Amino acid sequence: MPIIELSGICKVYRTKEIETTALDNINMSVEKGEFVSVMGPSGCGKSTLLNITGLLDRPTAGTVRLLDRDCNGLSDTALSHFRNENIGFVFQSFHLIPSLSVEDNVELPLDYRNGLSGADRRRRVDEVLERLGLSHRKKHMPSQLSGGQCQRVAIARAIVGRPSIILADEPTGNLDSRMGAEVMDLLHDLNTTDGITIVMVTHNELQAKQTDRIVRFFDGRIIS
Amino acid sequence: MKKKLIQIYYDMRTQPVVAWVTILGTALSIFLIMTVLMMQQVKIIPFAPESNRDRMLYGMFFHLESNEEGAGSGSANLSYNMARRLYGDLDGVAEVSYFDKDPSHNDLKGPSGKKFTGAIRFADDAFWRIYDHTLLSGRFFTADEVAAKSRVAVLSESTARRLFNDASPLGGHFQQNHADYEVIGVVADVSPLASMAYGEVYVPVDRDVIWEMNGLQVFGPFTAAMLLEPGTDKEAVRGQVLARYREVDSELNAEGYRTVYHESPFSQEVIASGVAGSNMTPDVSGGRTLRYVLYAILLIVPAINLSTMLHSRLRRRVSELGVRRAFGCTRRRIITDIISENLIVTVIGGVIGLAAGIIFALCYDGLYTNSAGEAVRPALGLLLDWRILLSAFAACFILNIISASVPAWQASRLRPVEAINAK
Repeated sequence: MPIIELSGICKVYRTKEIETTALDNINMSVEKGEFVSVMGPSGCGKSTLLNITGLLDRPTAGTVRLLDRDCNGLSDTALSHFRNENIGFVFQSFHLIPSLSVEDNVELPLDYRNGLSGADRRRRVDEVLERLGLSHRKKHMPSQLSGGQCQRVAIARAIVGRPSIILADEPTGNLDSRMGAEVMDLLHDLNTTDGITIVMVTHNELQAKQTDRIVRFFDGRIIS
Repeated sequence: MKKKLIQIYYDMRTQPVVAWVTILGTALSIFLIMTVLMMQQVKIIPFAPESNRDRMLYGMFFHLESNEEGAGSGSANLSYNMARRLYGDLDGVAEVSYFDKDPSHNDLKGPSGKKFTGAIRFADDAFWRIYDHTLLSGRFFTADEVAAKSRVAVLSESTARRLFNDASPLGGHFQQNHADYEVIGVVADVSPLASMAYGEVYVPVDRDVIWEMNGLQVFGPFTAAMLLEPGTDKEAVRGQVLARYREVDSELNAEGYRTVYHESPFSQEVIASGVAGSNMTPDVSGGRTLRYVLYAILLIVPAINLSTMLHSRLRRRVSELGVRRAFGCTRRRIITDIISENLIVTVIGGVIGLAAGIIFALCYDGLYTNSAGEAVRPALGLLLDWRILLSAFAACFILNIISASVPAWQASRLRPVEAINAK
C-alpha cells in the first residue's frame, strides 16, 4: 500500500501579470519503506512537489493522500498535527534555530506534541543524539558546529518525533563530498533500519542512484 | 519558559538596540502609568489606620437655600446635632464617628521646651474604633472623656518624642494653644496620606461648637465618618439619608429655607478625587474618564512603538517561524508563544519602570499632598501594596497584548513555505 499518493497534482502561481505552472498533473506514489530520489533541473518543480507532499503548501488541484488519509480537507491545525506526528523535514541549509542549543533544536518537534513528559522528551533527544554521534555536542550552539554536524542535528530533529516519512530537500547540497556521504549513510540507515520512507530531492546523480527509485522532473512534469 | 528566556537573551545579544529600546520604552511607559496610578491609588487603597476605606462613607457638608428669591444660600460643614440627625443610627452602619475632618495646626510646647506646630485632630471615642491606629502605650480617650471635654490627648510617636524627649510621655502634660493637656496614650505615626485618620495630637472634640446662621444651628465643624457593616449597599444608606433630608427639609421650610441634597454620604473615591464641596454635587465620572483616557494614551502610544519593535525582531525570525510551523507548531501556538515571550520582555521593562516610579514617588516632593496641600512623601510599604503591584502587572499585560497581538497574528499567518525560505 502506498504511503504517499499524489493524484493529479497541479500547482499554479498567479500574479497580476503572469501565471506560472510549477506542477502539471503529477501522479506519483511511494511505497512504505521506499527511498525515492527526485531529480531535475532547477525550477522544474521538485521543491514544490516536496512542499506539497509535506503539507507545507496546498495544491491548486489534485489530491494528496498520506498514510492512507486524504489530506486535502484538513484544517491548518490538523495539518500541523499531522506533520508533527508523521513527517520529518531535512533542508539544504539546515534551518537550525540559532538561539537554541543542539539538544533544544532536536527537541523542537516534541515541543509541539501532546502527551509527552519533559523527561520522555529529553530521553528521546538523548537517544537520537547518541545514535547520530552528537551527544558530546548537545550543549553546543549551531554556530559552533560544522556544516556536516549541523545537517546531522537537522536529521536528528527530523527523526526525533519518529515520523513515517522524511522529506529531504537537497540534504547534501551545502556539504562537501565526505560530509555528504556521511549524511547519505545516515539516511540509508534510517531507511533500512527504521523503515522510514524517504523522499529526497537531489542534483547528485551518484547519490540518487543509491536510492530505490529515481523520479525525474522537467518543466513541472514527471518524465520518468 | 527556559527557551523563551534563552530567546530573549539571544535577541538582546543579536539585536541589542531593538531589544533595549523595547525594554526601556516599556519601562518609560510603565513609569508614567504607575506615577499617575499611584497618585490616585494611595488615596483609595486601604492601609492602616484607614484599613476600612472600602467600607467607609463620609457624611459631610450641609447646603441651605432661602425660599425667598435672591435671598442667598449657605453651605458649610455640619453641627454635631445635625450630623447625628442625618447620619446617626442608620441601618447597615456599624459605627459612626463625628469629628472635624480637617486637623488644626496649633502651637505645641512640652517639657522638652521645644515649641512647634502640630496637626491637632479633634475626634471622638468612635474615631478609634473606625480607624485602626496602632496603640503603642496607654489608651484612647473614652466617650465620657469626650462628653466631659476632658483635656486629655493621644500623641503620635514622633510628636511624643519631640515634646518629651526620652521621658515617658504617659501622664505627662503639654500645652496646646496655651491650654494644658494630659497625655493618656501614644500611637504609631500615621501617614498624612491617610487624610481622615492623620494627626500628630488627638484630643476630644467639642461637640458644642456651632456656626450659627440666621439663628439656625445646622452648621459646625463636623463630618460623620461611617463604617458600614460588611456587605452593606452604599446606595441603600444614601436612600436613608435622603429620607432624613426630607424630614429636615420640611422643618426648615417653616423657617424659610430648603435643603439642597448633594448625594452625601460620599465614598472614599469622592474624598480622594477632591470633588466634594459644600454646595455642589460631586462628580467623579469626569475625573475618572480623564484618568482612563490618560491611561489609554500612556498605553497605546508606546504600544504602537513597541509593536514596531517587535515586528522588527520577528522579521529576523521569519525563517525560524517557518521551520517551527513545518515541525507541527500551530498558528495559535505561534501567537501564544510570541505574546508570552513579549510579556516577559514587557514585565522586565515593567519592573524597571515600576522601580523608577517608586523611587520617583519617594524622592520627588509634590506628587502627593495632604489635606492642607502640603507635600507628603509616601512610605515605601504603601507604594508596594499588592494592588499597586497588580496594577503594574495588569498595565504590562495590556501593553503586551496591544503591542504584540498584531505582529503575532501576522507571524501566524505566514505561509510555512515562504517563511522557511525567507532571508
